[in-house]
Amino acid sequence: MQENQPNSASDERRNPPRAALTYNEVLELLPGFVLGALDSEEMLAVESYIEQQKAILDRVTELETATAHFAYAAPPVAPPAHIKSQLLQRAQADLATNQRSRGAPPLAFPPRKIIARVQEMQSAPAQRRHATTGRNWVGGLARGLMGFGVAAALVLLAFMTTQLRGTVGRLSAELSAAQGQVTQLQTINQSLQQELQTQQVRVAVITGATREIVLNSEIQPNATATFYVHNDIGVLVAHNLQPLPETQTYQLWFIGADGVPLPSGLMPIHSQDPGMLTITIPEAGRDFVNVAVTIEPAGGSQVPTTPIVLVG
Amino acid sequence: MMMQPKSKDAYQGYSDEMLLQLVNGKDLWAYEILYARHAQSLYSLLIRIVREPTTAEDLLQETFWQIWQKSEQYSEKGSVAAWLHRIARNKGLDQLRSTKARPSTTNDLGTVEQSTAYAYASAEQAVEQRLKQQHVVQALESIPSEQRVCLELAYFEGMSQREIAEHTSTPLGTIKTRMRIGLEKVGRLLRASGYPE
Repeated sequence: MQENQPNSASDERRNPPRAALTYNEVLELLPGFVLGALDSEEMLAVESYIEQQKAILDRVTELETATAHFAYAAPPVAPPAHIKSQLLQRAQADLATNQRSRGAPPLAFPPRKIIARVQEMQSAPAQRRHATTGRNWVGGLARGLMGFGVAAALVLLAFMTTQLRGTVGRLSAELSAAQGQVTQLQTINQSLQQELQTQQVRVAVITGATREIVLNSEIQPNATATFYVHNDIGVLVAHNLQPLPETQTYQLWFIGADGVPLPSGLMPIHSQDPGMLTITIPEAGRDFVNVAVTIEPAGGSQVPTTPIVLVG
Repeated sequence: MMMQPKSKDAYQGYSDEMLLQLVNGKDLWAYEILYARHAQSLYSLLIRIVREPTTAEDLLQETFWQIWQKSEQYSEKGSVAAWLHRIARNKGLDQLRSTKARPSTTNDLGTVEQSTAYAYASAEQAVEQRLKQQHVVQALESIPSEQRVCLELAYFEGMSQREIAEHTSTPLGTIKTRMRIGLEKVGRLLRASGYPE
């Protein structure tokens, strides 16, 4: 069950298995078993019992599951960034080594093939012309054949030129399509970079929050939200808020000691996805006592126009 | 065989099991996302066990290198997260045993700087991890301290029940009972908080 269980053979020699355990004895030992905290003799006895009595496996799994969560009780410490880059470099090198050992063929570049074929075809009439020079009595026939050959070569050349023009046209079209794709990808990349920056800000606020406010709802009992504050940045994470039509949005409010709501960010939710809003808390709202969420028209409001949906 | 997505962004919605399957096919993006999801909790666990950042860094590297090379060893019996933590814990405890020096059994991390500013795979995941940590800590704090100490000494220090009995000058039978009752309670509390995996 555990990855670091004792070496069965050697332990058995040192500690021969004791008499079979009863069900109640095994139940008492199971927590120690899943934590790897039993003596080797007890480990073996429990293992042996489990092998014979599969019905107890559910109980083992239940305890193993509970134990597996203990890891999260460790105080959070961020690993240094260089570990990730070293691991990725190592994995990349490993990948490259494996690919080389599999002998991947080099990529062929189609235009070079086309050029070689054209050169080969262009040189053919000249070779034939050289081969047909001979005695005078066959000169006329030879000249006739040569003329026919030249004509055939010209026809072939014209045909090839047409084909090459088609190929060049296609390649040009593909090139401009590829350039269009590059432009599109650059736009997507920019938007992803922006999204990434927003995500990084959110993560920094959530993980380093100095204040966490849980918001609950009477109007939408399943809806919950947490407002995380780090310095002057706030992140609202909301779950199970009812989706709104396009004409409406959820709006965040800061409520000070005087009870006056200060309007803040908008969080349009039009699907079942969780809502997330990152805002810079305005100077006037930094001493807020409560935060609240209401439903407002799509552009937001200066004062709440509907009852509070979430408050905390 | 899974289809490989065309952008790294698409991986964010993948489950750990799917990512591990892709890592098995030597997919670097999947590996990177898996690292982003679990590196902090694995490193925190290793620091908690070995109490020494440089050693914990080495063990974190070893853990993830094992995942890159032997991802097929995952048996699907439990969650991927549980499997990763089991590998890291075993490496940490092996290191602890090899140095033969038991670290302090308190929660004091000494010179290790606690930091939470870390680039998780996504903000949603950061929230999830933070909530999970809070729930597990709350569950452990809600059981009597003598039961909690038994569980922590076994899990984080790798002590056997007999060693815990000696360490705390308590009869072995009492330790066994405390461990059983404590673990059952923590399990119930975690299931009630919605952690069935």
